[in-house]
Amino acid sequence: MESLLEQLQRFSEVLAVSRTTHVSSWDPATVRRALQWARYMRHVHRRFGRHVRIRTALERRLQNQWQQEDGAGPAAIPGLTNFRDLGHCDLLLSQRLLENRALGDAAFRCLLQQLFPGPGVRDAEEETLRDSLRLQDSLALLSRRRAAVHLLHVHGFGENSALRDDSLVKTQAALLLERLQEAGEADAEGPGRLLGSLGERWPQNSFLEVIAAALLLPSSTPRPPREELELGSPRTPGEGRDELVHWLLGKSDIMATFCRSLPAGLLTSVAGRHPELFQVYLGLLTDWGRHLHYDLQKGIWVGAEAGGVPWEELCGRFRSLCQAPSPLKDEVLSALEACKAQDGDFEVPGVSIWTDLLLAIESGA
Amino acid sequence: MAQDSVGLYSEYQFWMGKLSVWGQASSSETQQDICHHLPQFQEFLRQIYEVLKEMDSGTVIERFPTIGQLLAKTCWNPFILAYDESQKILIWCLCCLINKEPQNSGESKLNSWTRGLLSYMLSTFRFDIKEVGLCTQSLGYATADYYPGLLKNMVLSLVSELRENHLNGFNTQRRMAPERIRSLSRVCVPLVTLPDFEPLVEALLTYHGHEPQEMLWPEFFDAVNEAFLLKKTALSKSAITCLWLRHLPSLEKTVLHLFEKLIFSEKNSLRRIKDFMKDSLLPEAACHPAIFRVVDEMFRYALLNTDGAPEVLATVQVFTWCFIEALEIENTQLKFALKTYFPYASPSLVMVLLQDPKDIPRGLWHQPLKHISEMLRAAVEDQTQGSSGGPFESWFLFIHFGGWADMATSRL
Repeated sequence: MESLLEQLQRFSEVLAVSRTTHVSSWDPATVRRALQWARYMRHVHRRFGRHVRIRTALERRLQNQWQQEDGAGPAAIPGLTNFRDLGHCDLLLSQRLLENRALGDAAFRCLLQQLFPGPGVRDAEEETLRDSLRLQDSLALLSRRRAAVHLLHVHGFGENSALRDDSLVKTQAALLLERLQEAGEADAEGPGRLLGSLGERWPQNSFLEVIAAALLLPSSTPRPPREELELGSPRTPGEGRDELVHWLLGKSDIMATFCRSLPAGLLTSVAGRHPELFQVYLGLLTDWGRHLHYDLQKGIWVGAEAGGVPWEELCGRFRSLCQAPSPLKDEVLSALEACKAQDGDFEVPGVSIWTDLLLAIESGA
Repeated sequence: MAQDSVGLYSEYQFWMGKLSVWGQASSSETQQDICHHLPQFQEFLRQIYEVLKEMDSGTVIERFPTIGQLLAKTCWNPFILAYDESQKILIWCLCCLINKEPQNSGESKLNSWTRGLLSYMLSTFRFDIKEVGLCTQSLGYATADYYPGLLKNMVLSLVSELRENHLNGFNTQRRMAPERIRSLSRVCVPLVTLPDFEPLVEALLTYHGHEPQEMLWPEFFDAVNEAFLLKKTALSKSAITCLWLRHLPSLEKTVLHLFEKLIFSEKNSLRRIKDFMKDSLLPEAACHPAIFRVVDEMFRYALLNTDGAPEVLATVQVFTWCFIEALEIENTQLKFALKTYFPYASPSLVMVLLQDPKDIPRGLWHQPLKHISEMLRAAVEDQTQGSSGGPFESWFLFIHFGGWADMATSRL
């Protein structure tokens, strides 16, 4: 067992090196050995996929290594991060070597020979050749899928760019959940660290959009399909989502930006799925409402300070919540009624913002 | 051999010209032309590869000085890269350009350039979407990890948009423009055989829209039917039925394909014909009368043009047998009257013929057979008085039902 773990670690290092300029010292024999190693790791994946004890040990080793590589969160060098990656590690290695211009000419030629044996015989008897043909097919399929994504991206969605972006965001969300879950399994602090570092690297709005999409992904959504047959027991991405909710609840500033900058309809959907987040959202909305005062001359509700939430936006968000099915709608209405009662239960407009909000919702509904 | 290379050389010129005109496939006319030529171009690539692999890189450049240009233009064309095995053959061709021992700077330069193209095709794809790249890189994912998922999400988004559109019939604002559906069907042409695309192809085939004229591209129907005939797609029976109902040439091609298979395969036992027949999905699809009538019409022509060749007769009988079986399974007798399948025959005659003679005790055969022959005679005599059809029609109807025809022959 120890030797297997050792091999795994060494291979993971080879994979990390394959992206660096160190490959300039690789000769054809090194390339062949690296690919052989990747093939062996695929067999390990196939063999121990259902073997819980070995699988867990391998997974733990990968996780530890990953965490060490970059204490701040996700590794800058994509490498083996989970057991499933082992199933297509030869594809990963090949791609990295193909794009690494530091690889010498002779080594590169050898790589091509290994990866692209040509038409070959479909039912080749020799196992290595069979593996090569399979890898060749995987690389070609990947190339075909990229062309397909490009064609759909450019010609498939027409004017409907929202729908096009939606599929991009959903894909990112699924990947984020997967990473969060892995990070959570390795270390309780992992998800927080990962999210913190992503927040610094990604443009804020797209970061928040991906978070919202991740919160909305249906629980039954399978992980993105892989080239390989899934051998590992599938884990639902639900746990990753819990990590996300937990993190948001602990970061009041990010939660406030989240509730402020995303569209009302999207937030209503999120609130409908996550009661804890709904409570915070409702609290923020009432808080923002308290900061508005009535301008008697203009006859409208205005913010006390610049950057506050304007009346129209507040009203739009409440209205959207009230269009959601019960119990969301009922809770929002009773919260508004309670605030109105606290203010003195006025029925005339222009005195309490809650009275006016309730009137606006009624008239708009 | 010399003749072959002259042929290949002129083809080479032809495709070089085409690739230059196609550019990056931006206009819809260009896309149409590309889609139309995809299978031939793939065949050409395969031929070129067969030639290149026998030469060393130096000879390749000597014989085809512009081969680099040709392959580069192919690499920039997303429709070609998306089609069948073209991307794979292109990779093989590029591998042949790599010089094993570059002697001068020119050869080294070519190596480096070819390497750039290979790397572009396989890893640093020029068409990659930037936003996704940033996100996935910071999460530590490689392209192999997320492209399958991204493609799946895109396909599902489009499928659900098509379905919603179908339901939103009267809401003209939210309706997908017919041009968009048309363009979507064009994008699918090179991709109908990619399993990730099956849900979208199926949704397009079953989507009817609200326009009186056909929205989908004829090339799309051709590509789907071709994929079905070559068993390169696992579309549902209902999607294939929709295809044949919407596109007559596809249905005709399928029937001709069946004939070809039956004619060119040796030792056609009845069992084998039956397997071919069921495999073709034609009897099941024929539960829809419009499809039945087309297939039946083609049988009629085949019989007339072969003077009633026994093979064709057997085909008609097996088809009818499988069709009746499918009709019983689908229980659609109530949906369409028998008259819609056999418009020239009297329904009572068809009812008798539809019975399997094997279900009737041997001793009682005489009675229904006599009944059938009387009805047939009446029909023929009736024809002479000027109604539609003729003696041929009666005979044509009768020979559909092999069991009765065999029995009648044995009694003669």
